[in-house]
Amino acid sequence: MPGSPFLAPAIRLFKRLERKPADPDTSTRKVLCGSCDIACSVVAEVRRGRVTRIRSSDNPLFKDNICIKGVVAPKGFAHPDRILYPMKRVGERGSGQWTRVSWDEAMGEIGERLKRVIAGHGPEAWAVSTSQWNTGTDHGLGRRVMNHVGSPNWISGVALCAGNTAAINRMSYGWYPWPDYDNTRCIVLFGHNPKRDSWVPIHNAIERARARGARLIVLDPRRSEKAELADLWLPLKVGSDAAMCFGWLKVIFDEGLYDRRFVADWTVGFDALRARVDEFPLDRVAQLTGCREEDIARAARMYATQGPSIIPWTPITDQQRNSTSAIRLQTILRAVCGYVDVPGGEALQGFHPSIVPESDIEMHEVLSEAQKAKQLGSDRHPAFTYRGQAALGEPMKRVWGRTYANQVTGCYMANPTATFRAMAGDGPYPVKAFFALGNNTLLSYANMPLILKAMLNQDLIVVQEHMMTPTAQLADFVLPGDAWTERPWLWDAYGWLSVYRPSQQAMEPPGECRSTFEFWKLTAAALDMPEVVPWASLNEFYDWRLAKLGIGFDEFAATYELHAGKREWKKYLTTGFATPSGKVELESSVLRDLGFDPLPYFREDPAPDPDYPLTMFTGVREGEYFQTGGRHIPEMRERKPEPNLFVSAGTAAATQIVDGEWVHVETMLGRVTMQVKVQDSMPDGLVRVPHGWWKPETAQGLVEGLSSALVHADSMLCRDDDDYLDREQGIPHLKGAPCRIVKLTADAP
Amino acid sequence: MNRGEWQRRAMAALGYWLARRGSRQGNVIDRLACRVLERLLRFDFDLEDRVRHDRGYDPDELERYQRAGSDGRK
Repeated sequence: MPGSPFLAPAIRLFKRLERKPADPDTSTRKVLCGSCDIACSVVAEVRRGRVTRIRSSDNPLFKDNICIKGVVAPKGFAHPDRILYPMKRVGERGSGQWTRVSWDEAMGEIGERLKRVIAGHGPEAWAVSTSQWNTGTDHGLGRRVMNHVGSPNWISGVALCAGNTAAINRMSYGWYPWPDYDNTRCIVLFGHNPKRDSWVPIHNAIERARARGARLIVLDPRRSEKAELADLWLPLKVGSDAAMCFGWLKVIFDEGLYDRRFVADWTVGFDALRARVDEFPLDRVAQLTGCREEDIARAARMYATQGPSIIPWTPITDQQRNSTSAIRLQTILRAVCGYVDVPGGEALQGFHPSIVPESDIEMHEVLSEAQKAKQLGSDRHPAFTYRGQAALGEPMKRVWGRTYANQVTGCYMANPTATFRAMAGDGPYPVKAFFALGNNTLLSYANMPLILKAMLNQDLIVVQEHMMTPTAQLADFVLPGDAWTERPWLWDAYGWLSVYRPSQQAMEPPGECRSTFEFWKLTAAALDMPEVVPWASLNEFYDWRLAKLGIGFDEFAATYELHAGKREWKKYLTTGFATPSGKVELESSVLRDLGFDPLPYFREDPAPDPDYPLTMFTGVREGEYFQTGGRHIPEMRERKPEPNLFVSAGTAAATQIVDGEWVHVETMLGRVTMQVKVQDSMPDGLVRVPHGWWKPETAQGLVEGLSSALVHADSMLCRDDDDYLDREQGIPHLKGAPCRIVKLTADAP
Repeated sequence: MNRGEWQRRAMAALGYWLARRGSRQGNVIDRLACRVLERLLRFDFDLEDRVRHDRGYDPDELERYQRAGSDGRK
């Protein structure tokens, strides 16, 4: 469980957070910070009906799980440009001309127009993109409404960030595990860099583990903050995670460092896997990864012998040409070393025994097989679609009690690129209505030119947001969303954990801002199916989910910081694994039956292009911001005012650029403008491009450049043609694409 | 099960029990578990000074900001 303690921690100086003296005008509420997707348990201080301060939790389990993004959230939610009322487009799409309407008017017209699209093109002509960590109270209700309507075309950023990892993990051992930081002895970070302004609970858990002697291995081309602290840092070539894992397995197999008993009793496909691993002698792995053979071997030995070890989730492995193979190889490392479902290893938590999970709320069983078969992308890239996960239905039911177990919301998704192509008129059928909820779609996936074309080809676009994002600027209706301080919330990491944490409403939402729960309730009613979302309020909905516990949400939130079921280890001894074979599938029957190589493999980069001599990695989050959000908050812009690309001094000299200079970064797809930061931590030849930049203070509207998104957003650079897509999932290769830097002739934009 | 694994399991189970009880505001055992956790989990995390010393916002300041915008970016 996150926050469960290792019982022999180093006792160090304890600095208590400074707190204001008790103020009779100040009340406090327990809330979960929604400034990123990790949901820290924090405290909201409320004065005169407003949240004025976000501070660290009073409970020792969550103490100091807080960062600057949470601290400045009250300012962000009070921004003068926050969308407070429903807006309807009155000019051309993207013209920036709006009129204020009521919720009733908006939902009435949305319902009529959506029904027209469905009548004309079928229910699959409606696509939705949601960011659950932003909307908070979606809770699978969007999928529920879509399933009743008949559309399988739901997409999310989790297609290339954790959701896809969940779907692939299940192919190996039937669940997506959570690492047991509190009891582990060795932590392996594949490019992930949790720090004091990003994913703080994980940063803190790693620091606590290190303090009690756990080892840290970091694999990162850049000498990151975590690399500086590591016992072993392997500066691998960007995008070579799969090759590195093959190297580790080669050492582990050749030296007999694996758990022979577990492999014999609980895995299938070992001999075939070993033959594949033998294709990767260390000299080849060294050539593919750019790391020294002795370092690769040392890391492999440390992982296998210093355990139990963990390889926590990383967005880096998620976003590579060999993502499926690399994720599978990480699952295989966990399995063959005996680290699955053991203390200090990777826990298969399953469902909470008493709380209704989002998997049940989604009601995937009501969507017909014929409609499931229409899910976009499932023909060529099925891994996380209904088709790709179908073979796991019976095993999921057998082991976890549900045919549809949707972890991290990522296990039954349409493919984003295929969805955008269909929206643009280049798919197997038209998609003509698009909803984006808490999701800045235009900037959140690869190939912005395609997404822009797709959005301009829609009959109806509905957006729920806080700010007029570039995506919202293209909508027909923009509806005001509430914030995490303004609503109750119940969180289980989107089906990843069996631990639930509550968040109390701390203030009323401003203007006419409403929750995404309310949005879906109104949408169901507008589609003449109010019975699909029958709960009168969010609280009543939570009461229903908690009914088995015998208490309502208010009492639950007042009583618990978290609620967890009984913890059991090695549950597979009685249930087997939730795979078709009941064992860990080193050779995947699911992938084989889908027509793919059942063993991991490594697909090398296309031949170098002399016109694009540098290599870039994109999708990088900065500590001040989460994804495409936060640029409107003055405190954050003061810290990070401009989009900065990182290059080494050597690369800067070779391209004749200097620190602070504005340049173009170009790929075969597009071009963005960024400011150069020369960093000692960067290797030569690599360009680090930050994710999701736009400038809310600049002019809105398509002609004006969508608040600078067309100038700065990294999705302008990210290709999604076959050479740059993972085969099984169809997600883009964001870590290691060719690019070039071109000097600007004019001054900064 | 070897001795090391048995120890890890026992410690994990005890830690898990403490976490469950210490995260609940119920009876005296819950409060005691919370106290034990407070002792066990003492740690000097490297919070930013801006975070450690934050005092929050004045409600009037937020009100003014919301109404007019005071950051000069508008």
